[in-house]
Amino acid sequence: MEILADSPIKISENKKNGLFAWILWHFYEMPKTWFSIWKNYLWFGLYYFSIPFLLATLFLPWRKYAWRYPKGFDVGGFLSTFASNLFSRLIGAFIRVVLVIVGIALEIFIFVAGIVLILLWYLLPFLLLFLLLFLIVPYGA
Amino acid sequence: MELNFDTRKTSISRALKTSSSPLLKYSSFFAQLFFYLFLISFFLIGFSFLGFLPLELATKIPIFLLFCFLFFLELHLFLEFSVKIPKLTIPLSQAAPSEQYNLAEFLTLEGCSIVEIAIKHCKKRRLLEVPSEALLYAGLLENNDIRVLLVRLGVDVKKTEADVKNYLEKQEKAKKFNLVLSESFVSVMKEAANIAQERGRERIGEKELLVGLAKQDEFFKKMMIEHDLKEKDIEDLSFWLDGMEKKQDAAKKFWTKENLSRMGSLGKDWASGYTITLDQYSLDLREIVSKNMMRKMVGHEKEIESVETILSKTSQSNALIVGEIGVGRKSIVQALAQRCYLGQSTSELNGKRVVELDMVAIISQIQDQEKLEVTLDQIFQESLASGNVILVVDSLDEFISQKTQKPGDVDISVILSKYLAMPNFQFIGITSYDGLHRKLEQNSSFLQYFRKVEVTEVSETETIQILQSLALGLEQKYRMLILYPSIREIVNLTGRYMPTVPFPKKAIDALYEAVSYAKSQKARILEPNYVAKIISDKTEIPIGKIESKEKTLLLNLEQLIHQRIVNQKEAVGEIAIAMRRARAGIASKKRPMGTFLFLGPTGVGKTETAKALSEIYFGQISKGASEHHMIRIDMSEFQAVSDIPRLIGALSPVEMQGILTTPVRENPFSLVLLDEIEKAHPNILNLFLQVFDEGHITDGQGRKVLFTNTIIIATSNAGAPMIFSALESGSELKKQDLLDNLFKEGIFKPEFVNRFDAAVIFQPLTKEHLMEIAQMMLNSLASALKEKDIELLVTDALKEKIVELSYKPEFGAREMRRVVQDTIENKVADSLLSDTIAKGDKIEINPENFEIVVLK
Repeated sequence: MEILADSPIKISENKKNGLFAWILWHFYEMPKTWFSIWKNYLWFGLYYFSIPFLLATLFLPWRKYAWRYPKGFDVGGFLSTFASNLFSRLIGAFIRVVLVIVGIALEIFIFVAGIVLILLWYLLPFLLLFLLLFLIVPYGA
Repeated sequence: MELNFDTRKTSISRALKTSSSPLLKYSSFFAQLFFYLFLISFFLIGFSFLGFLPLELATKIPIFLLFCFLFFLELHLFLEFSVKIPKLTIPLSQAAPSEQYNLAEFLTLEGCSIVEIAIKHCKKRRLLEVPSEALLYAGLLENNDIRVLLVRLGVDVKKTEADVKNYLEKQEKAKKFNLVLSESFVSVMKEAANIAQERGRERIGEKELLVGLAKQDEFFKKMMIEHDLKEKDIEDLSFWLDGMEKKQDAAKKFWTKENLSRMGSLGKDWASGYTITLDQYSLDLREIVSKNMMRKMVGHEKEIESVETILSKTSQSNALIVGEIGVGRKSIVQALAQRCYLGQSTSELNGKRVVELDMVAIISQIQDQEKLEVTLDQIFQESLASGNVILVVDSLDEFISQKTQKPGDVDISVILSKYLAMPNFQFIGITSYDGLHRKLEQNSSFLQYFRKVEVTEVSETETIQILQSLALGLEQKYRMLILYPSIREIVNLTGRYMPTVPFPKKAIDALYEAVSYAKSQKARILEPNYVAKIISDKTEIPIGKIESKEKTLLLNLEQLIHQRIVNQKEAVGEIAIAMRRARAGIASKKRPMGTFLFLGPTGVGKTETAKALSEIYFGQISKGASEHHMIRIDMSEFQAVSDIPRLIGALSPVEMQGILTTPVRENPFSLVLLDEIEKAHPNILNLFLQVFDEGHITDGQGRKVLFTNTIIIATSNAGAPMIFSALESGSELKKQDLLDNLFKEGIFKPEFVNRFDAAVIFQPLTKEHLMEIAQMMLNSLASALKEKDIELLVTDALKEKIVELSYKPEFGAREMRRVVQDTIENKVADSLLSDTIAKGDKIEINPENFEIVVLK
């Protein structure tokens, strides 16, 4: 059988103009990918340092170290247990806060790095032009 | 058959052309090259300070290299993220059934490349039309995946390439090439489009084209027959390779959430308690799964979800995984550990540690019972208190005692029960059906804390996928290619010949053994014959040749039986026909190989026929001794319902193995002879109804015993008087009349007899038949003597005398064995011991007094 005439119906996005296709990709499609990667890394910072979890459990005793309060009226025992439990909670909070701070620092770094990289991506064609000019123009001109 | 198909004006064809341009094709290489050169070029600035190089040049070179690097990086990203994946505005499912759309637009780059090369080749040769074989040729020539697939299928790629080229050369040619697609080309394309849709693909790739060829192309079909391949093999293998590629592609995208989460997280355990004692005696499965993140569980999805649901419950969150050993029970626990680690499980389980308690280590290290109990209590306490432990005990039944505790028994049920009842305690016990019935069900108060998850065997397709994944690791380790037909052979043969062990264990074990065996033979490719060899050794059945051997055997079955059995032509004929019908693949594979009811008077050869069949069928097919393959049960011992436990085994009051079920389990290739079946209790006969119909029975231990590889023969003397009276009156006895009489007398029920493949009537023996039997018995004595270099002459007079002494119509030939023993064999033995006869003698036996006469 002979092949049928080419379909008049548009099936795929026609990219006849290579330059236009590149501009669309560079300034619209690829940044979408970069944004999604950036979002993933921001999520990863929170996940890796368990920041939401650590904040939710910030004042829980360290490694579940807790002591039971004495039965009956024993002020000394009560205070001693209270102090121990408080200490356990404070240690827990301190260590968690340290990790949360490290995590937030990393988050800030990822945030800034993401902005810088995406900006650089937008500027890349201009940077290439600039570099080309730099190469063409004689030194000291 | 119409098809709207033209690659020339499609986006994918343009993408193919663009991506083939050298600038884009090698952009990744150039980007890397210029990046490294750019780094090295910084040294030039140092050189310029030392005066070796002018500063202008030293600065411009790195900038030039940086420019080149960024330029090629941009090109490479453009190629990968845009050019290679032109977006479709219509899904394939909408376009494929309609002729409105150009199907060529839905090809992948590789698929488009194959089609264009195929057309180009036909154009060059000025073929009248483009046959589907051109696609195969182009695929073999250009596409690596197709070559890999065919190599894995055991196909000689170079030879096939030459053959298909040769085939194309012989095609009809035109004066001028016009692009005309052949019928076969259109069929292949349509088939490939269907497969792509079935697999949920957006486009038609090279693998779909290959499956299309396997289904529609005549040349490919012939090649498959030559290599003993089936369409399903191509489908399965391409599907597997597709999955592997997807997995690899996914792994390369390190920026996805899934890949990032594999790095784990910090601080999740800080809100949970330490488990010092538990850590001493346990294995943290989280550590194992974190090292092997890419492993993906095949099958058992439902079971994993059930375990997750049980463990996520607020109370009684204890799962009992029940399944045969080797069915993949521990893999379920590992898959759960992986999901918990990756945060892919339920919110209640994510981040939890799945810890397997090593009970054997605890018991061997702590001898003192009291100390042991204290330690176990401590461990369970820690698991509960820590709040993030899912505790696992493998072979739980081993650590639960029965009511009567034996010395050395350990019983953790009492301590464990205390914790199982607590809401935050999460526990997984693993046990087998045997353990469940034997131990756990006896302790119902303990069992009530669990929710059962029964693990069924994975399917053959899933087993093939598991083996394929394992094969990749083994190929690297042993530097050997494991062919797909070998994997299929493992699954087929273990499925057929090792019914007692479940998938995937039996197949995995066989794969490991086959690889080691092939390695010991210094082979570089694991071919199916190595698989046949190791399974043959394991099962004592020469599997590689079984088919041809069995065919010859079935065709000559009558002749072979008649070498042992005198008369009974009709009976033997019926058996042979039934066996041929059963084994030609027409009969159900679920039923036993053959089921026969032998009816007739005593001593006419019923049991002997069964023995002969066992010897011929299993003795020749199998390497082992035929007696080893015959299970003989005297059914007169089973006259009461209370005898059932002896037949199929029981657990209580006393554990016993069934004399029918256990030998069949141990040796599934057997002939089961049920002697004097009419004497068994009717309820016992009812047990066999399921065996005859379904091919299996559940024994007293709760195990499924398969009878699919057995021949079952039941013998009965019932109806003998009717056979004799018919013989005396000289009338012909119709089988149906005899059976009707048996039904009327209530000896058998019609539903019982009708389930046999054939009810065979054995006729009483006449004197002439007995003469033949005497000859056969004396022949056997003569051949025994011949081994001692003594020749025995068998005379007609001697045979007549033996028949005269032993002939009793109601006993058939049964007396003859005794007569031959008493009169001849004893005398020969005495003479041998007293040296009356010696090597080289020729002897004869006097029929009158049975004295031995030495002729020489």
